[in-house]
Amino acid sequence: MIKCEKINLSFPNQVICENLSFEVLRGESICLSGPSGKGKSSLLKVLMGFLMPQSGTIQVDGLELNSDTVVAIRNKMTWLPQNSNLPVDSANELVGLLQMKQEQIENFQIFLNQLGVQKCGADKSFTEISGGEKQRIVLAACLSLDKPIILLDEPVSALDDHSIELLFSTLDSLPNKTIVSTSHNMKWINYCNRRIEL
Amino acid sequence: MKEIIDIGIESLALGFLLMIIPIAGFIYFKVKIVKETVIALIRMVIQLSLVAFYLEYIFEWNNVWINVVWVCVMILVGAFTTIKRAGLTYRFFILPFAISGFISILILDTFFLGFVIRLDYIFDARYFIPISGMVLGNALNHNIVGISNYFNRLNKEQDLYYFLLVNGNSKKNSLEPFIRSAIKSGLNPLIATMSVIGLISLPGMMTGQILGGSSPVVAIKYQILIMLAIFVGCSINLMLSILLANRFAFDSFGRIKSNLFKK
Repeated sequence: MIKCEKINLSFPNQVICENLSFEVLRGESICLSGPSGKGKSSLLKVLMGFLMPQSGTIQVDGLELNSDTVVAIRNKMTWLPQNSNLPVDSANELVGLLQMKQEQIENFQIFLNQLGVQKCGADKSFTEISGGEKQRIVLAACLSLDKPIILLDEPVSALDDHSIELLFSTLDSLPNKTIVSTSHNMKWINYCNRRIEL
Repeated sequence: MKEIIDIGIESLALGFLLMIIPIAGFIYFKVKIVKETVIALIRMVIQLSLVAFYLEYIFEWNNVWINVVWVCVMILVGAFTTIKRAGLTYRFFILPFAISGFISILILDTFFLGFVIRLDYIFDARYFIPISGMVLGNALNHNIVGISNYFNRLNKEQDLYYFLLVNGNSKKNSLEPFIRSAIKSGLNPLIATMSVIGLISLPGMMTGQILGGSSPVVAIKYQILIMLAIFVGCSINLMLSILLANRFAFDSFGRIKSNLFKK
């Protein structure tokens, strides 16, 4: 379970949230929504300990996020960054960078199939494939790590309707995963159990 | 063996006339580096003149402590220059870079002067200072390239580092791709230089020795040794600089400190 209490986060000239409190139960999916630039991605970074709120506490499975617990908390998470705009050249390089074990590589292939990427060729250079394909490859890599908490930053921003449906059925096949996401796509927002408006 | 021809002050001044060509080119193409070039030239002349003056005395005294202090000053100047050129802040990096320079010189001088050249007196100014200086000078250039690449990439590609950190990698593993790229970019020019040395370039040290009256065979043997020393020194210095800098560049959450870079 993720529990955020009285989070205050602001940047110079921008208040992201004031006294924001919310809980996400195990197996639940929530979507942080709001206009662009409102700080949805920043909130995900707060959950991972990459951004420090000015005040407030974050607990994950009873562990309060601090410098002693941050590694244990991150070990429970996987994160799909916004636009999957990672400086990586191919799916194979991604597998190498993540130092995936054999079982994870096999899962990666399965998720690529489920997300409809296999036909496009996971071996191709990322410069030869579309943003949507790249996003699904990175997503498949994240899912293959089999972490209990999945953080998805704009997971459908580059996907067409068919790919979004494939993503839904893939996520439906994963039991007990807690999903915290950001999006302004109505299909995605409706798919999630809950929406938190920023 | 022919006696070396000394260069008179007028001849030296004549050499400066050639600078008219690049400076004219800079002015023609409106490249705003004329002022920097002139300042660099003046600095070079002053610094080398001072070095010539100092070295005369240092060679004459040949005192272990003076020699060691001289090399330590070179190490410190190198560390400061690397930090300045890479656009980093002094307080986080002066210690790791100075320690890296010191360790690389310690290993190299002990090995090359002690075991390879087998000097009776390892701190002999005539060997200890020029060889340390040659290694440090080269290490400086390659360190600047490698360190700049490392921290610029980490800064620009933070999402990749954080992505790897969250998705199952330790901090050490998450930094590996950045370290690989920094070492490659820092040492690639040196590998390229080594592979064409003698074909399209005659290195300064060898040329200097030949002009100074040494036989080409002796000069080449020294050149091979010095190239090895430079490559080993640059590699040790760069790798150690990155490893030691990592101890200061991240906070307790594994985040890249925001004040590493000079504003």
